[in-house]
Amino acid sequence: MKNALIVDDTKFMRNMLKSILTKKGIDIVAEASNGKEAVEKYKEFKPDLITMDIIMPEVDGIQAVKEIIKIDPDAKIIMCSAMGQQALVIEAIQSGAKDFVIKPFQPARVWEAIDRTFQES
Amino acid sequence: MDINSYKEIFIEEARDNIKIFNSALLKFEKDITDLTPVNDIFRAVHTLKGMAATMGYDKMTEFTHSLEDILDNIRNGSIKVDAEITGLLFKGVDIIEKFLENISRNNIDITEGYEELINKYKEYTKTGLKISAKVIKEEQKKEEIPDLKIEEIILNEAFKRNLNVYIVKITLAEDCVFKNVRVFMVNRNLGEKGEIIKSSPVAKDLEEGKFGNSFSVAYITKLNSEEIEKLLYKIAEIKKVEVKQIKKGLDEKRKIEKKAENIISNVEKKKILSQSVRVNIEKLDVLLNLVGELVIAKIRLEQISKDKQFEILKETANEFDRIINELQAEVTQVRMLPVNNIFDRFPRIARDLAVEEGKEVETEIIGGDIEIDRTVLEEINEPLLHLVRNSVAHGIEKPEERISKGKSRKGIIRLSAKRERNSVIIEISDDGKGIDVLKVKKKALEMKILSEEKIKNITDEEIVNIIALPGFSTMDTVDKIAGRGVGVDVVKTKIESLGGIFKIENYPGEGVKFIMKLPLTLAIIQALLVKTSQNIYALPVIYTLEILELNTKSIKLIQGKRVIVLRDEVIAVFSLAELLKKKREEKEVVQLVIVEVRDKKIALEVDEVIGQQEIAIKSLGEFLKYAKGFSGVTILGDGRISLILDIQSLLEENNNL
Repeated sequence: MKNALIVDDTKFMRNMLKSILTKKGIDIVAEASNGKEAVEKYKEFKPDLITMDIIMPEVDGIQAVKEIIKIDPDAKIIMCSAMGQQALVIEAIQSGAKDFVIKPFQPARVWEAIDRTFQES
Repeated sequence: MDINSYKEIFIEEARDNIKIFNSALLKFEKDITDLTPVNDIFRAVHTLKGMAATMGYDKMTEFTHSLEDILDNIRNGSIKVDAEITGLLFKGVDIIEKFLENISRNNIDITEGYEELINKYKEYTKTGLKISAKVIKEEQKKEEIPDLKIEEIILNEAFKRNLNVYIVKITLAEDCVFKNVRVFMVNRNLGEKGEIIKSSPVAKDLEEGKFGNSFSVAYITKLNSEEIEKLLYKIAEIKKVEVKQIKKGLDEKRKIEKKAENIISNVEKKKILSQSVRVNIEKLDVLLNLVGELVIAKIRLEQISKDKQFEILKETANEFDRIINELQAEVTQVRMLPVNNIFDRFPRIARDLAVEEGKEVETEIIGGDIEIDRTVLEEINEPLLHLVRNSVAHGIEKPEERISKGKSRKGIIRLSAKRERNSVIIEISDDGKGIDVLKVKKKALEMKILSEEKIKNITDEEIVNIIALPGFSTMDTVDKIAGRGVGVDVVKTKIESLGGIFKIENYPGEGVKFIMKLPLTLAIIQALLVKTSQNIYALPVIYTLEILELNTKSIKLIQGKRVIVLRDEVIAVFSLAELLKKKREEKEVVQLVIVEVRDKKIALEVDEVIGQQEIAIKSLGEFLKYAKGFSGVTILGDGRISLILDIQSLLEENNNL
């Protein structure tokens, strides 16, 4: 079974993702509410998948992607973006994120992104 | 899922796209042989569809989808465009607008008549489809994937190095939202294993997401077709990948394309986005209010530092003054919107009305980028709309009539905006028949607005102003367009209530010009402070012309009315104290402020002119908002409250206009 780390500053979004990922049979090993925590939790749990919000307090998602990719260039990070943040998503992907999904989440889209991301390996 | 948090931005962006739709459609209507605007419309509709789908508005999605179909058929030439088609498209915009209205007001995703319109579109796309299917089949025989015309030198070079050359067509999921990001990911994935040398549409359009659902690239790599497909299917939302290899023999026959401009380098060009955020307008209102308070506090500080003669305090106050002025300018600037925000709608409205009336009208916009405070803009929208409708309905003549008069078939309505110091001047003019002065005179007599004697002496310029009197209309029957009893008078009242000035210029036989002078912002204005009966009043500078100090002997009496003669002009004198129902003090030397009200000069007698100052306008509140003679209130430097005078209504109240 694959496992995941969910990073988002709102509990609401984390819960929503949790339910979407659990339905896909993915185990949630940890949650983080900002980029700094995300990097710490990544080191601790080495999850198969990370969902990463972009706009977060203190350390944002893009910074977190950069740091995680430094540790493991193969880390599977999927960005969670809101409408109109194309530029940020591109920056995240340039930094090493594998794919992105858009809020509000459509479960099918999230699953598709996960499937195709795992295909890569 | 909390979709509502996205509603606001959805509505805002949808409105932007409706605007694009409308203006492109007007362009298209003018010249239906040029299909460029159709592409713009298609993109706008496509964006609308994508957004509506994400928001879960199924009916709006269904509608925009069918609209997209018909547009696609227009674009590829399988539907012949006539007035009926453009009419259907205009209806389409209206339906989308209504959808949006219902969504924003009542949060329901339904609109009357949308299904009917879908069926009409389908009639076209069905027959259209037959034709286009044929066209497509023929095209498919020739080549499934568009030919990207690769330069021979590049091909030869690739073959020399044993590399394969492919044309790869990528189709994205229909509801893909960030298409440009997907393009970026395609670039990334392909770029790791080869080189993209060309694309269709061109790179810039791809980067901006300006394409339908699919795009093609010319790709040089060592990979085989299967590997390319695998590489691309790793990206989510890619629906289909078609790969076609370009073989050596075939390519020698190809024409040499010399233009190299379309070649895209593999280096990802980072799109430069302007840094901007959308802010809730209410927040800006609060911000402006706070700045208003700050201005009041600043004025108090200035007053204190002046009174106390304390050097350090004075310096601080000056510094404070400079910073607040800057802050105020910035905040005011942020709230400014270009007048095009409302002007943009008028060509469409004028066109619709003209069609209804069997007339031909062209709307010209000048100075659409002039900016004005958002509140002012909102307030003048309706009045301007009314004037535009007036011009089409009553001003512009029918084509035959125009030709017989030696005018062009098409009537011209000109909307213009220009900045003049602290005001914006908006003019709406037409080249129609102008105001019929005789008719106005006759009607004025009938309605007993003027006596026969007065009418004899009235100038044509003065008579024109009668049409701005409440309830006045020269139309014998009430028509639904402009003569509903509410007319120019409503416009005039509105403009004046905003602290603006409204004027009409009539050119019989040649047209009418409505001129509106509006303040840039409603919150903070320049005012002249005057003292009368121990109270200080604020008089908006926009009305004032000059200040005089005269010996009371210079005031003459004509027919019992006090007047002065200023540079050969007779000007009536009114005492502000008397207008405010207070006792006027007889003095030897009087101070007069010459103000301009409704094109008339009036001398306002006050006890003392204190000086010019900027004031922050506060509303009078619920209880006093109908109080005549005052447009608001402000707080002075010493903490005292001062009423802001509305000279026009004050004079009206005293039957002096």
